[in-house]
Amino acid sequence: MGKAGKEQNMENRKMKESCKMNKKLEVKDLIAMGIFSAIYIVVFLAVIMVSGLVPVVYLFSGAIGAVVLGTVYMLYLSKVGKRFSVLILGVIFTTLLGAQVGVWTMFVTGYSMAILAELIASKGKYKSFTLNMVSFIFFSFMPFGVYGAFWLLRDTMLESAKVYGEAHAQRLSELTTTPMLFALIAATIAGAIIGAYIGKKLLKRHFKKSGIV
Amino acid sequence: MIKFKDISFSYENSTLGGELKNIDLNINKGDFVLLTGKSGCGKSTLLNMISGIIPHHTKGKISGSIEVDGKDVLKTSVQEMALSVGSVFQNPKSQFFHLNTTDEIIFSATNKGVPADELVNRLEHTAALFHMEDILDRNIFRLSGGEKQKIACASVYAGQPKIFIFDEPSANLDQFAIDELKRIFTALKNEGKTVLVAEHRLFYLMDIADRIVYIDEGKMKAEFSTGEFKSLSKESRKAMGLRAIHQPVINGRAEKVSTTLDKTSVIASTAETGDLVIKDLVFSYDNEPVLNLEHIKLNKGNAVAILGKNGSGKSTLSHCLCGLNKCKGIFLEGKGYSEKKRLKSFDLVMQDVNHQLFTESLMDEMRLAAKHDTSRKEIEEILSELELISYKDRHPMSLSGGQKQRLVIGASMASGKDYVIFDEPTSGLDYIHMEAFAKMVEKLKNQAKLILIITHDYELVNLCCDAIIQMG
Amino acid sequence: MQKKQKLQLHPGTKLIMLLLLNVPIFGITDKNIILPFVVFALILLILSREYKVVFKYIVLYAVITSIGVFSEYIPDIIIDLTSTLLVSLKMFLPLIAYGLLVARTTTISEVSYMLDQLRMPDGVIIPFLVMFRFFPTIHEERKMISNAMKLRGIGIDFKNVVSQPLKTAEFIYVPMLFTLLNIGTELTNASLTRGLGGTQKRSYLSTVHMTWQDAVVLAVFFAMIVFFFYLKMSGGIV
Repeated sequence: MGKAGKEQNMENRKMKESCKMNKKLEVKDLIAMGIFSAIYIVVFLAVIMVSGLVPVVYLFSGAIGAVVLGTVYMLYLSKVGKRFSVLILGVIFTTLLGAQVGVWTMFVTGYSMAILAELIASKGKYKSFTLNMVSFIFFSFMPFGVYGAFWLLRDTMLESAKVYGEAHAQRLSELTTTPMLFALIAATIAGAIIGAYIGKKLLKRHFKKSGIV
Repeated sequence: MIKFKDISFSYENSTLGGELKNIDLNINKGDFVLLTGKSGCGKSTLLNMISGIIPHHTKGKISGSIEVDGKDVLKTSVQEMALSVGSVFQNPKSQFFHLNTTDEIIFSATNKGVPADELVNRLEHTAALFHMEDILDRNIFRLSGGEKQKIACASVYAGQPKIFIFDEPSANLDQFAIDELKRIFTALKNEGKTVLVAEHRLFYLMDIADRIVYIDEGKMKAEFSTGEFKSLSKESRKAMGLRAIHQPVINGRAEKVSTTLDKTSVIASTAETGDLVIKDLVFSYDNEPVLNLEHIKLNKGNAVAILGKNGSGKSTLSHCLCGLNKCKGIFLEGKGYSEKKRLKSFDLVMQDVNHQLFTESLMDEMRLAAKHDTSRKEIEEILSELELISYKDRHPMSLSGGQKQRLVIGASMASGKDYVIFDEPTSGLDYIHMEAFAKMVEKLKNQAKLILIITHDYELVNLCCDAIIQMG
Repeated sequence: MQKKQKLQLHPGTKLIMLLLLNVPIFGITDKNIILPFVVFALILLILSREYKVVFKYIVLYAVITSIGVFSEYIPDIIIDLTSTLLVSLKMFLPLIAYGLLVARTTTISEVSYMLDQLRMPDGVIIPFLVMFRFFPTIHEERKMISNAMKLRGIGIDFKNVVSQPLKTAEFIYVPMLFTLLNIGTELTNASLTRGLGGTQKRSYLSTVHMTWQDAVVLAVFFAMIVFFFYLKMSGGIV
């Protein structure tokens, strides 16, 4: 077999390997997943802590978080974008946050949204911007169980509020009405869309331009 | 043990160099080989081919064959190669997988499935050999750079490979840590391990290495026994781009300004006051006293080296000077400036310049740093001086390490700040690049700036520094 | 090496308690039943020698509760403004107590061993470990980037955040992501060359098993839940 033949074999083998590599998660992907999980959680907690200061805003922390985290998510899909990558990120996020707060609703919204986000993103092979964006919308609803507890577990929350006085509980009840719930959902969706577009822009300007993706 | 047969390799992204051309190299069991050459000559590439990182993890074009410990590297996975080859890389910060030192040391062994009781044995043996009983079960983040590098070496050792490869292991270490590293190398040699070290700093290996391989532009230019290498003239070594083979010491040229000295340093002028005066600077960190400086006077147009072993307060001092730390006792041109003012007068070129690049093109980066009235032409002039003009629309993160450093220096020049601090600017640089940096410092001095350089590199100090602050 | 005697619980035990706590919290409306659970968690923390955390928690609890007690004296505005946060906190306080128990007394290797025992794939365990490893890294890098920004005059201060918020965010985000990815690349090399992802099954130095301590703690916890639900059924509480 001449030199040309040898090189051809090399090419073939490399192509086969790269096809294999494209589907399965490798060590370098797992490490990237860990890094992104860390970034995602740190940024999200930062958003909650800042928006927790201004009261009503606290309820919208998921929406604000979505705006900020869009870039991370888009970069994540560019860098790792393989089968189960979204699901695992979501599972880790939910589990860690859930273990800190403990409310069972968090786990419900968290895991279910992670699964949906994974399914949607994989439909476009993690490369379609529109599908990625929709995937991100669902992903952004993962922490809904935390502040959404005001609606999902309304009675218990109101009972808690009574400690601060009947009038106060009344005000809280007025605040957490159904229209407010819809506003929250709409805000989260809007936030995710904005975040996705910001992510797309930053991805192009920095990460694609520098060749790291 | 290791056989390279007519190996040629080029990276997929071939602009960054580091290629190899027709390498033939044989290394026997128990050899201690030093690989050296100018920056970008391909020595790191060569090492990575022994561990299998190339070609399995890093893509590129390859031809030829490599056999390591009886295995064909091109056909063996990196993890499989790891059973025979242990790799220690340059940056102590980014090599560890765990947060706990004990977990990290046995990492290599646990990956290989070594059973628990054997793990304990290896842990104890490694700790004893490396003298690290006091850093077991600790948080890796709290360790010094030298200790981190020790953990990296120990982690590789505990996996019991036959071959050890080190890629510029001393780059970020001070003299004490290098002595420790030397001790570890000697121990490895005595155990009959096969060791390859790619290095710029040669002096600490002159008594340990058996052979020295010189690589230039990807080709094996020469092989020396250590005796032969030592007998090379200084000029030919410099022409090869190599650093000193004897431990560098400070020559008498630079004036020493000790931390407790109370006389002024005489530098080029006999002015009574200085442009930068430090007086009674006391600084504590977490209630631990770090700095205690009585009186130091420095003038513009000079370069001052800040020396001292790791942990002696060099970084803290630089942070105090440029306004990142709140402290009293720093006077610029006669006035006691607040942190805010100092931030405007000082610039700091960090050890890792990746933290200082914010924009999407070199031009934008320069404009971000530049004074408001700087024209486009002036910016382009600076870029030309630094040989970066052809990259002006490229993204900063696409440059090589050396280019990034020059970009940050360029930004500093554009900012017009008169006081510039460099943090370890020449670690990991070969002689030619270090000389080029020294020339740059001279240029900055001529622009009437005061340059402070935190460094371990005595060759650099001898070339361009006028005074020394010795922290201790 | 002599280790101080302290309570050693399996991480699974703590997580089970954390999850099960939701049952009495949301199943029983009478708020007073929560106190025994909180006290139990604090006892466990004390037995684990986490005194500082217990102290801080008690202070937090006292503050939140006293706001409730003195709510009549506090101007309505403040109550209004802080209501959502306070109610959430009050709701989650007991859960936070157990969350602290999980966080303060569990080591990462314990968790990774537990995940391994649960037959979680590498695909979950490795990212989990890497994530924890990067938390302090993110903290360090953020400080350095923040310093670099201050030197350029684009630091995170009032003026910059107000006049160009998006740009300022970009200035933190971009170097941070690049640096972390670079560290990730180097870490990957250092991990592959030490055999991560190889064909052998990973071994562990220390293994964590359920002991009598776990049994006792879980029994007590369970008993409390059953007790309170019994009270509820027999009409003693709501």
